[in-house]
Amino acid sequence: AALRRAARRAPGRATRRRARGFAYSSWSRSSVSRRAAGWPQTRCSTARTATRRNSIRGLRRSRGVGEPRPQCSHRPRSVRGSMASQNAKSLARQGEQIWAKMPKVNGEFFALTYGSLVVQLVEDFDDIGEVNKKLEEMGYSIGTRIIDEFLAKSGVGGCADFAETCEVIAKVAFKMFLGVDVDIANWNDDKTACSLILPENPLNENVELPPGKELLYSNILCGVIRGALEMILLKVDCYYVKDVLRGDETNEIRVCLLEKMQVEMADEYKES
Amino acid sequence: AAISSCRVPMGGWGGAPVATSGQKLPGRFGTRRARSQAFSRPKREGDDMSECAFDSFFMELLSKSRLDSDERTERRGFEIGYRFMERVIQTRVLAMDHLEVIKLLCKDFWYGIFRKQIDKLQTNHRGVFVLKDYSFRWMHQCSCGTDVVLNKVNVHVLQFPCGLLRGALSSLGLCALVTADPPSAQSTCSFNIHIHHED
Repeated sequence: AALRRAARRAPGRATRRRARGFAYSSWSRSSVSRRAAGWPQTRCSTARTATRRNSIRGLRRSRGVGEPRPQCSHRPRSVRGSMASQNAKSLARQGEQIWAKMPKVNGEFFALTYGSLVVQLVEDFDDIGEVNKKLEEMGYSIGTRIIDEFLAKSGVGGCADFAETCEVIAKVAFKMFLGVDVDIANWNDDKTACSLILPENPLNENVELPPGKELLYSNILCGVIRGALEMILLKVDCYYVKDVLRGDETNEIRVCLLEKMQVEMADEYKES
Repeated sequence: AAISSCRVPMGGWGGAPVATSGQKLPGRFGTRRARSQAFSRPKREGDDMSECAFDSFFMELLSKSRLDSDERTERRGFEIGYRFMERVIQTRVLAMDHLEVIKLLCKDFWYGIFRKQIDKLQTNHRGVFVLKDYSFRWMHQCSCGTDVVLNKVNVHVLQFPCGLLRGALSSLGLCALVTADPPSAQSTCSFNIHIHHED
């Protein structure tokens, strides 16, 4: 029994230092060092305090062979920054917290400005398809910049997969920038395409489209999503499926993942 | 003689009455709390949006409008200012002189767009007003100096708020000419309003 205990002893300081790879200031028995040193289980704070308590008292409680380890309800704390354990509710809460903290401007003025922009584009271009494309391009250039602001202000870490990315866009990003609660639906089998359902669109305030026009009024949103995701190396196709201004009940934007881009060096930097 | 405006109940853009000339109502537009109360109304979901989203949209709009002429940018600002002023005075009953109109512009209109008021208002009491804003949000990124080309770009950017003011005045029934001085210091702007007395 003593031999078994010795074999399972916590990794010493030298082992931990080697496992960690670089110096850190506090020599705590942190979960990171444990995991790096190869311990099978990351223990939660309950277990940590128990360990400290035992070592202060100077005795090690030996458990009987048959006694099972006490079950702890705390899930292992994931590595900082990973969103593997977050779910939709916590994202929604996060979105609301950030929305509460953001300085806000008048949505009506924005709706008016956007409306006059669309009117001007419709006057300039004869083809409505051109107008849609122009709106999307404007959204694209906005999206390439807004992703930086989003990542800075929201503090979300890396997403594990595309499904989580879409969750973050719907619950955190839309809430943070426009103040709308967006739902996700209609996933396809591969989990590479989804629909974002906007119950209300602040751009659509007091807007009426003339009948028969194929204008996608809020196409700028599709461009923003596409631009933002392209900056984090996800090439997506983003388009409007349903629009309230054209008679449907809700606004629906379809986001389809085309490919995950690789960062490559330009030809002149590559070694021959 | 100016007719005193009646108080409008809450439910529209502010229930605070506008003072007649020479009569200051105590603490109405002075304190910040009164300011926000004047603008509080039953908020719909999605009524506001975040500042950074609007700023990035507006920067994009400005960069696109750099190809347009000054006049075109100004005309766009005119239309937007006209409509926005209509919303600002939706439930007020107004019969005011020029100074009160300009004060409405400085306080409610500017607050509605930028969440702050105009910092300084000067007038010669003969129809010329100078409005100064010491931290104009849209000019934060614009550098200023004595360079002629830079000044032209800055003045072009300022055509849009000039149009806003002109549209706002026009919706209140005043015909005016609004110009902007090239900014001398970082994000400081001044707008000159000449009201035409023929109307």
